[in-house]
Amino acid sequence: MMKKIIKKTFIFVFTIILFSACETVDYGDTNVDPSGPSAAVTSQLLTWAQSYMPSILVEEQSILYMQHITQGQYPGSSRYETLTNNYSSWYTDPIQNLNKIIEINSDTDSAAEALAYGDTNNQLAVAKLIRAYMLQYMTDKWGALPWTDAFQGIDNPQPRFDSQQSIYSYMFTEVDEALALIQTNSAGPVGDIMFKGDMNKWISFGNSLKLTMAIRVSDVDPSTAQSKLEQAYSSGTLPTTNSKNLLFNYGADDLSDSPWEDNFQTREDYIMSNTLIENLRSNLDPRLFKYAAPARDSVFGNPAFPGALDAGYVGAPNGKVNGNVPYFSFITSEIIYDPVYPSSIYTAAQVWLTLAEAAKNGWNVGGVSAADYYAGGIKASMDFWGVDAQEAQDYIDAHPYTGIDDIAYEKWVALYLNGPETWAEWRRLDAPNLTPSIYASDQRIPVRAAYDASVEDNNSANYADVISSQGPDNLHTKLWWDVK
Amino acid sequence: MIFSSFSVSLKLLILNTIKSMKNYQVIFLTFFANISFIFSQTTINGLVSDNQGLPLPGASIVEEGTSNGTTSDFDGIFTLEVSNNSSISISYVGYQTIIISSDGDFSQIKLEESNTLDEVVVTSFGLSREKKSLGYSQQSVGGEQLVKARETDIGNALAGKIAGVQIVGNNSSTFGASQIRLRGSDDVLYVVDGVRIYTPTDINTDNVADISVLKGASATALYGPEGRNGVIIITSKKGTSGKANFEIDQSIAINQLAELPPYQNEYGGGYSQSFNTFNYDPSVDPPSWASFDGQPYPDFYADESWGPRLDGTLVRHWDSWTPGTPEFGNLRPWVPSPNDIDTFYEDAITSNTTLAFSKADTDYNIRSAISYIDQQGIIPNSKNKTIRFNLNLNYNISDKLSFITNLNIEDREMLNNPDQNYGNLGSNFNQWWQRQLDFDRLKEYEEGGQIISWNSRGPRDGRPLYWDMPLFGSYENYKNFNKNSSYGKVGLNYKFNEKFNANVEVRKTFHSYVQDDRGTTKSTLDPAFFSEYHARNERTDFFGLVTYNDRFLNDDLTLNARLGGEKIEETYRLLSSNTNGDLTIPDFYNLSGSKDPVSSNNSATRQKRDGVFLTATAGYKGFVYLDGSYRYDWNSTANPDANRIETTAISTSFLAHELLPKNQILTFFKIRAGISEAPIFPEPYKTTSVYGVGDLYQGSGTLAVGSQQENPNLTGGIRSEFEVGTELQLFSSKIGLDISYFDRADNDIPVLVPLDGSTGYSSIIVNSGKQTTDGFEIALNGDVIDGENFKWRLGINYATLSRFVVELYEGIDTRDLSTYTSNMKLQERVGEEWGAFYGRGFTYDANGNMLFKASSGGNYYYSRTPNKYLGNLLPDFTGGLTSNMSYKNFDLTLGFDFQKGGKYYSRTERYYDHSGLALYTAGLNDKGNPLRDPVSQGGGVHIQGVLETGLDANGDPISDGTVVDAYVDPQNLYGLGNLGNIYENNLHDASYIKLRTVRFNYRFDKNITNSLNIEGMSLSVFANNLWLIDADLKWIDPSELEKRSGYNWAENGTLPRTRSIGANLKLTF
Repeated sequence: MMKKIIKKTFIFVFTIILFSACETVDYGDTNVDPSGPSAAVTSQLLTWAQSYMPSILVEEQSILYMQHITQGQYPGSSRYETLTNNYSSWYTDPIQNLNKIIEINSDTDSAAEALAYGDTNNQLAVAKLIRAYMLQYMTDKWGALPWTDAFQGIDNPQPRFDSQQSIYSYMFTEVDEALALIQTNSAGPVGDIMFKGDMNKWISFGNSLKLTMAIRVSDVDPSTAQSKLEQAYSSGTLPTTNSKNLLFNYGADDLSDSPWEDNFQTREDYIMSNTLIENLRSNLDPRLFKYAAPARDSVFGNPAFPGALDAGYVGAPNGKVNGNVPYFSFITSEIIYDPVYPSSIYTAAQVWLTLAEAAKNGWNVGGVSAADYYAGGIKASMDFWGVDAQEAQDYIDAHPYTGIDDIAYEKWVALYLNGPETWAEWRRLDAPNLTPSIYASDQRIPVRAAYDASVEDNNSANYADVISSQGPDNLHTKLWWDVK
Repeated sequence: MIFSSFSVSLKLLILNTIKSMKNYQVIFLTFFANISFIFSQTTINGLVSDNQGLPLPGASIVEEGTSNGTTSDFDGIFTLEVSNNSSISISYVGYQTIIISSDGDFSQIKLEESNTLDEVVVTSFGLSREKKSLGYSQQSVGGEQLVKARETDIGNALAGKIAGVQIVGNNSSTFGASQIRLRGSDDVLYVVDGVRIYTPTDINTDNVADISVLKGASATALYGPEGRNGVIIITSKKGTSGKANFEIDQSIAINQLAELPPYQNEYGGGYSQSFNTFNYDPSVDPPSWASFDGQPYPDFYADESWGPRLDGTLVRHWDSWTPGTPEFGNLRPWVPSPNDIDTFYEDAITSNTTLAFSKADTDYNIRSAISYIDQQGIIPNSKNKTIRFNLNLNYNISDKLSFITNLNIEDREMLNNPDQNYGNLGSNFNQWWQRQLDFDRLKEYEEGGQIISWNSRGPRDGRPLYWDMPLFGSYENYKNFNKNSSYGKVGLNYKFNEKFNANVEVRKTFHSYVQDDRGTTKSTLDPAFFSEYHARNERTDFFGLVTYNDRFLNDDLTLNARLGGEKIEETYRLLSSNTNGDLTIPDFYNLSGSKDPVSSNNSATRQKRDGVFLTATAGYKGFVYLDGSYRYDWNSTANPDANRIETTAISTSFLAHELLPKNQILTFFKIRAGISEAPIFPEPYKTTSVYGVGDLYQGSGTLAVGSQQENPNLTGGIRSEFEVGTELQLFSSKIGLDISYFDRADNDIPVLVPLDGSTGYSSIIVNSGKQTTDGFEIALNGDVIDGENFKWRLGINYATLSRFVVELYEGIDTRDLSTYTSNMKLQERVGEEWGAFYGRGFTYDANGNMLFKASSGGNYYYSRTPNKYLGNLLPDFTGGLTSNMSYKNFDLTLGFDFQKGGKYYSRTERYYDHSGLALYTAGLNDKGNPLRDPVSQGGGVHIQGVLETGLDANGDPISDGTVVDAYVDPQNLYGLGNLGNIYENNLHDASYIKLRTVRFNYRFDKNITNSLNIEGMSLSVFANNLWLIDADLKWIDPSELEKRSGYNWAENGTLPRTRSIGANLKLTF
């Protein structure tokens, strides 16, 4: 026994000495994480990216800026208290996913493997269109953003910023490229929860996006604006009737349902703004009864409608601490309590009102007058919200088209709860005239979002560049397209 | 069992007799192992005492040059079988070691107190070494110090006793354990009898014989990557040779609320000082409410206290609306709460019972113990039950081969471990509350099958808006936690001869956690849910060590060399699942009851490591020692083409007093120094990346590109540390001083580099950067009084630590360590001290005047400076003071600890004044008027400063000097948009001084214990967390701050701190 032990000990000592000679030890695949796949399924990357759409479509910050609604006991954005916003997760989450879909479908070998999830060109087109849509949302919020230098990881940790102008020019190219790729006879992408692979809807989406981008740059680059808008119009694919509206539909389950429902499931933080309520009331706009619900507790506004139908509709002062929320109107209950009530992406009302402006500019949009497009926009909006046609006509008769401010006002009303688009168009058109919250410590409605402090810290040279070209990094520096 | 009722000398005689009978067993065993005796044996019996003749239990008696040894029992008595003509060393922590020849007299061994002169301490791999030979700082705490206060938390037990140990993060209202921070890091390795364990909560403090704290890399070099931040080595109690021993230890303690924030009691709940008037509406209201028309009622839906003055007005309270209930229809006065928040918390009892059995002889040593801790929480219906079993067994198969095994098992069941964080009870009472609420009326949360709450949405909608009744969560939303863990080892030791020894061990540590949580289907506030979580940690270590001891040059030169290797495999597995949407079946809590598809996550984390090392210690004439070690480590987490790290350590100890003439002033003077390295490997899975799998979205699967970029080139890195120190003993060793200075540099170790999201990634782990840490650690001990009967000994320790960020990554100068919104961040910044607070702060002009911004209606807002440097997490110094007094059989021990400097952020305070709960939100202003009165009527808070008139180039506010001297409405001033938005306002100094432990111990006289037929009996009265003597906010103990993303820096919704007082009875048979 003793001998055995001595022998074993010598073997042990020998093993250690031998082992010490090893430069490396082979641990096989020990260091590969088994909790996720190493190869991607493009359909699932797409669903993940699309699940970020509600973050744009139900962005509270811009809705509060636009005074459609305000806050109850806890005013924040309605007092412009959010001083910086971080753009990072847009890049790392949905857009990285879209980049990966594009990368996989751009390489012949991997594209062949991804064919199971839809036609290669259609996958490319959809990924590019959503990417452009998100990029427009981002640049309309922050202005200049890293793009040409972006997505290089540690190889380029300090990307340069692209100006908003060059981002717009990139987006126009991307949208055209995507539209050219679409094959309506081939399979749309699997995992497309927005339009279920219906490529005609994606054509409509692409052209609506192009229309929106075009009108946005109309003050700074009228020639591009005109040509792009006319192309979008002449495609004949814009949602010009409510049945063709591009909506984002929600799932019934808690992880896929409407953010509004999630908000109001346990809390009552948002109430109607008196700006919207009083505008609708003074204009005898029947959408008042569709947009809002009467206050729960019996405090009365100053009725204007016949029969004091609007007596229970009470808006709250913007940015005030409105602790007694039962005294105020809420957003209509079908929006805030129905988990599947859809969000609008592009609607007929929005298209008609944009075309009204194009007509006013004298662009070639079918020879229809600005006034007719304007009236059509109002009709489409009223129809969408279930207002009786005669009531809509009465409203139009009472509010004839007189100029661009009417279009701006009607856009502000029609884009109800679509915060980013309302905010962008309000900044561009400088109408309607909204009074900043008197409860804010800085009584100016923001016209952009400021970059997160980490940009200044970790990308300082490029940050300094962007400030010198774009202007101070605060909430009041106007963006490239916002010239007036 | 021996029930002793004899005198000590008589007992020794009997022990001798029994001992000689036991020899027969020894011979039998050795015969069985087919090995015969080479040396003849003799049995020694003895008694160890201090120089006053008081017995020293737990003294170590070792046959020199062997592993043969024992410890003395409760009365200082021991028995040991030893070789003839051997040398026997008798040692005890804090006393001088004596060496006696095996044929000498052991009957009255008196040890002189020594501090460090010849102290034997536990070092790496449990090796006992003379403290004087160590070239690095090492400090010990004896197990007896833990037992008297029945401290179940090893961190608290060490608080204040060891220089450089900081205690962080466990609120005393919860069942969690605190953590020890050594030299700035709380990722400390705990080793129990050679076995590496996951968490200090695995340790049964009743079982601890000795805790040895190794702080620097020189001391921990042999532990490789895991020991880099320090190692706490715990040695369990062993049996006493020659006798059976049975111990019962029972303590009972009461844990009580210690402190709540000071509240105002002048104004009740509400958003404004007027009541609502009820307008009876027959179309919606019940006829029984008709008489309520025109009556006042408060804002039930408000969870703030800006309401009407508590002036006795008769109002309709929240509980007066439901027909058929006792308060229906009653108007009650609006007055301060007769039963306030303090009445909610319970006095929680903890019972701790330990039974231990031990027996040992020359050829075996066995000790087993079972403990049962039954602990209640101060929050109703919370409890924690822990059973721990330990077994330590050593036996000699032959005189050369011995077998070592130990096993520790824990079974823990916890119900409703109190949550801290935002949204829980602490946050409810201190952040969102109506001051007039009477807790006697809040006990019932269900009435006639309806869930009721004081925070209803209004008279016509009884559903709670933000809060249920305080007891609702405790009795409806159960959280169960169950832990099963075990750790232990089996080992063989083979002694070839006096020079060579070999040791092989297999060690295993295993943890399994099962946790569930539920939201009741009764709730009208939140959807019901159920979640379950299973986690399993496992590690297996194979370890081998060959030791060589020799002496040269006429024994002047001693050499001790070790060659060892280890192979470690770790696995962590997790399965967690939760329901979505709601639960479909009332009162049924199961994943299968989910309304929407269940979310699940399962993952596994594996890593493998190998290490080999060679270490040697040489000593010359007992006054100079040199230690060297060389180590290789391989780790599966590094780039496979470069997964080895090579590290070395050298340290020396020089005993300068040996060169001085013998004197009574400087009796001991040691100088030590060392340079060492420690390997640091990446976490698993950083060299490759996989897609993240998300939940189903609208029925489709989801995948995401990982947000952390993979780094295939990632390798391990090296920490280097220099340490120098001295140990001094003065005035016949009445005063001892130990000073260390260390300087550590982390160079190109794997670090997380934050990436701007536009790079496509949020971060990457790279070998980069440089951070340096240095500090002093000083311990001073001395006898204040050293009389015949009365002794008073004081120990004070003090440590500083500063950590500096030299480099992160080229171009990246800032990294968030943890954030609380983007307006309050804990950061590391290049060129600054680590742990900086940056956030939204106050603005002052050059003359120190506060800037205010004017707003409409005569309102003023505090001007704010964004991204302002606000302070630092690291304290200037930490320390403790321990006082031990003894008079005859009485001992009194006081343990203080303190910290100077450092900051923390309090979210509780942010809402505590925002919601009008704080004492200072009411009362009179400097004009003598109620400050809540309208400003136009003389109310308001007086503000003075200058007016903001623009911004400078950095966007920071500036003033033209216009004076602001005004009164401002407090509800606006303390509101979220004003002072509530100045995060600096809630940043506090983390300095504190605290009397953490007091214990008073009485050891019963022999004549009493003898008459009771027992061997020993002692009674202690103890108090833990007794007195927070000074702190910035007296209701927040900075040493109890919760953790936020790994750092104890921001308090989110803290529960009150508590104190416990108890008594302990220990009986030995």
